[in-house]
Amino acid sequence: MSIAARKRTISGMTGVIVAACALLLAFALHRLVQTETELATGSGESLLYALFQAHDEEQRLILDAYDWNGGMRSTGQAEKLRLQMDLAISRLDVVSHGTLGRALADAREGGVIEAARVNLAAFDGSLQAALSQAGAIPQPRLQELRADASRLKAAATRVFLAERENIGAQRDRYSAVLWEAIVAVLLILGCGVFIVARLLASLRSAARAEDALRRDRDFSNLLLESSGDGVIAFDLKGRCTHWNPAMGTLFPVPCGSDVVGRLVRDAYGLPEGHIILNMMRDTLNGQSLHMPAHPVPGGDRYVEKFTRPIWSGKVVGGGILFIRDVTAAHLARMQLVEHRDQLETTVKERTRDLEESLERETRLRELYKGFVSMVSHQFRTPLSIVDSSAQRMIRRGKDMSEEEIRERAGKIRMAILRLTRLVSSTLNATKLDAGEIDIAVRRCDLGKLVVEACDRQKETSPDRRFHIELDQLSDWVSCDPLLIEQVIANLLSNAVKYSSAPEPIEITAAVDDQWVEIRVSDRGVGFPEEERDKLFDRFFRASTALGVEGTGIGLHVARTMARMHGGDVSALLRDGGGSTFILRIPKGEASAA
Amino acid sequence: MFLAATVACAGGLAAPTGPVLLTVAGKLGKTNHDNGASLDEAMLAALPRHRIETSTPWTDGPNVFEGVLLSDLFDFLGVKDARTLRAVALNEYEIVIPFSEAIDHGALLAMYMDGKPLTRRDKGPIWIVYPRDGNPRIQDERHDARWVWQLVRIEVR
Repeated sequence: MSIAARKRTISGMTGVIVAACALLLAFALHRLVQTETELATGSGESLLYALFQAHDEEQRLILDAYDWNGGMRSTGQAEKLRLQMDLAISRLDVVSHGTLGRALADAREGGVIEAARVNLAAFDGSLQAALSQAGAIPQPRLQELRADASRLKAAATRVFLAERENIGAQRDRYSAVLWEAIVAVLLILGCGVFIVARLLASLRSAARAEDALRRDRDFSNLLLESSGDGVIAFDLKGRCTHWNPAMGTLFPVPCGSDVVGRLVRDAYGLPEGHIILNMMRDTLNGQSLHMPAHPVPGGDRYVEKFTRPIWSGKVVGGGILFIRDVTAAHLARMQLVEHRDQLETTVKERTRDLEESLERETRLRELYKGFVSMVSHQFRTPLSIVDSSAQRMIRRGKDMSEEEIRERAGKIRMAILRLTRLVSSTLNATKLDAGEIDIAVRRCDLGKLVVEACDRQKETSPDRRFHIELDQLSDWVSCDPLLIEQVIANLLSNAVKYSSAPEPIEITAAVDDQWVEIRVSDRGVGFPEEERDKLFDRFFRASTALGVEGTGIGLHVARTMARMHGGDVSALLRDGGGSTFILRIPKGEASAA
Repeated sequence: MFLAATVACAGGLAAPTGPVLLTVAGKLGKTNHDNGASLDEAMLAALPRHRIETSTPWTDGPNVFEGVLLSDLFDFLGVKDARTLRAVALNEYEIVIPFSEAIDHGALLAMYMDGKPLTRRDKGPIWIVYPRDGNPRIQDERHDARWVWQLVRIEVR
C-alpha cells in the first residue's frame, strides 16, 4: 500500500471515529435528557404528602368532633372545629385541582377524594347545625368521616406502593440509561484516545516535516548565501522575499538597509520603465528571461541577468532574478576574439605569401618554358646553319673553292654572332633582373641620344626610313644616357624587325609638365590586343612574331630600364595597322627606382 | 417629634379593628403590639392593591391574583436589612424564605383569585403567590414550597 493510500485510510478512519464519537455523545446526551425530563415530571411524593395532609386534617377534625360530642362545647372549641373544618376542606381541595388532582386521577384515586368531599360537605352541614344549636354531631356522620379517613389512608398506601413501584421501575430505567451512557462514554473515551494518538502522531510528523523543511530552508539559505551569483526573489507585488549578500556586493542598496520585505522598486529607487522592473513584470507573466553579458553602467564589470517565474501549481506566485558577474568570462571571450582575429590576419598573410610564392613559381615556370622555347627556336636555326655549312665543307673537301669556303665560313660566323648576341642579351637581362646594373642619372640631351640611336640602326638596316620629329623636346633631360639609349635602340630594332620597307618608322616626342614621351611607331605586324600585357614578359613572343628572329627579351629589358627611371614603356596598336611603343620618363630629376 | 410621640404611643401602627388576618413579627419600623404588627383586613386593604396573572401547580389554568406586594407591606412596616422570612400557615406548615429573593421575585400576598376572595376553605385568606409564568427560575419544586397558603404569620429575621 502506498504512503498516500495509507494516509487516506487513516484520515478516513479518523473521520469515521470522530463521527462515531459525535453520534455516541448525541445518543448519551439524548438518553440523559430523556431521563432528566422523566425526573422532572415525577409528583408521587407530593401527592403522598397531600394525601397525608388531607388524612391528618380529617383525623384532627374527627378528634375535635369527638371532643365536642364528649362535652367540650366552648366557643373556643367551636372556633377550633370551624378552623379544622376549613382546613380539612382545603386539603381535599388541594388534591382535587392542579397537578395533584391530575396525578390522583391518573392513579385512579379521584373517586376516593370525591366521596370524601361529599361526605365532608354533609358533615359540614351537620357540624354547622350542631355548633349553632350547641348539640351533638350525629354519630353516623362521624363514622362516615372515619371511613373516609381510612380510605384516604388506604389510598395513600396505594399511592405509596405505586410510587415505590414507579421509583423502582424508574431506577431500573435510570440504571439502564446510566449503563448506556457509561458504555457510550467508554467508547467516546476510546475514540478520544485514538484521536489523541492520531493528534500526537500528526504533531510528531508535523514536527518532523517542519524539521525537514527547516533543514531544507537552511540548506537553501546556505546555497543562497554562498552563491556567487546575486539572487533576489520577489512576490506578485514586486516585494523582495529573499536576497543574498552576493546581490548586495553586485548591486549595493542605495540606503544600505534591508531589502527583504520591501518593494524592490523602492529599495533600489528604480524609475518606472527600468529594465529590471520590466524583466520582473515579464517574469510574473510567466516568461523566463535571459539578458546576455552587458556592462554595468558606471563600472568596468560585465553582468548577465536571468529571471525565472516561480510556479505555485498553475499560477505564478513570484519570480527569481539572478545576476551573475561575468567580467572574467567576458574579458576572456573578448581576448579570444582578439586572438582569433590575429590568427585570421596571420593566416591571411601566410596565404598571401603562399599565393605570392605560388605565383612566383608559376611565373618562373612560365619563364623557364619561355626560355626553353626561345632557346629551342632561336638557337636551333643558327646551329643548323653551322651544321649544314660544316657538312657541306666536309662533303666537298678539296673541291670547294676558296670563295665558297669564305661564303660558308661567313655564314658560320654570322650564325655564331647571332648565338653570341642571344647569349649576351639573355645574360644582360639576367643581370638586369638581378639588379646588377646600376643607374647613373645625369643631365643629357635626349634628342641627340635618339638621333644617334637612329643613325646606328640605319647602319644595320640601310633600306629603312626614319621620320624623326623631336621639336617639342626640351634641351636637357635627367636620365642615364646608356640605359635610355639601350631602351630606344631596342624599340627601334623591334620596329625595323617587325615591319618592312618602304613603310617608314616614325619617332616623335611629347612633353608635359611632368613627363617626357618618346614614341616609336611602325606599320608592322602589330600584336593581338589580348597579348598586350604579356609583351613585356621575359622570353614572350607575340603570336604575330612567328618566323622573326628574336629572344623575347628586348621589350622586357626596355620596360625594366624605364621603370628604373620611374617611368615606363607601354604599347599601343595603331589605326591602320602597326604598333606604337611609348617610352615615358619623368621630366625632372629622375628618381632611381 | 410628633412622629416620635405617635410611635411611642402605639408603636407607630394603629391596632386592628377586625379579625387579625396576618401577624408580622421581628424587627419592624412600625408595630401595634409587643411582638410586632397584627393586621386586619382593612389595614391590608389600605395598602396598594396589586394584580398578577399566572398559572400555578395547584390550580387549573391561569388565574388572576390580587393582593398586597410583600415589598409594599415591608415598606409599610419599615422592615430593613432582613435576611430571611419565616412564613407560617394555619396548619402549622412553615418555611424559611430568603428575604431578598421573595422581594426580587415579586411575592404577592394574594387575597383574591379570579376576582373572588380567598377563604380558609381554599387557600385563603392569604396566599403567597409569585408571577410564576414569566420566570423560569422559580418554576421549580423547591421554589413551589414557598407558595405558602393559609398564611397567618411572618417572622422577619
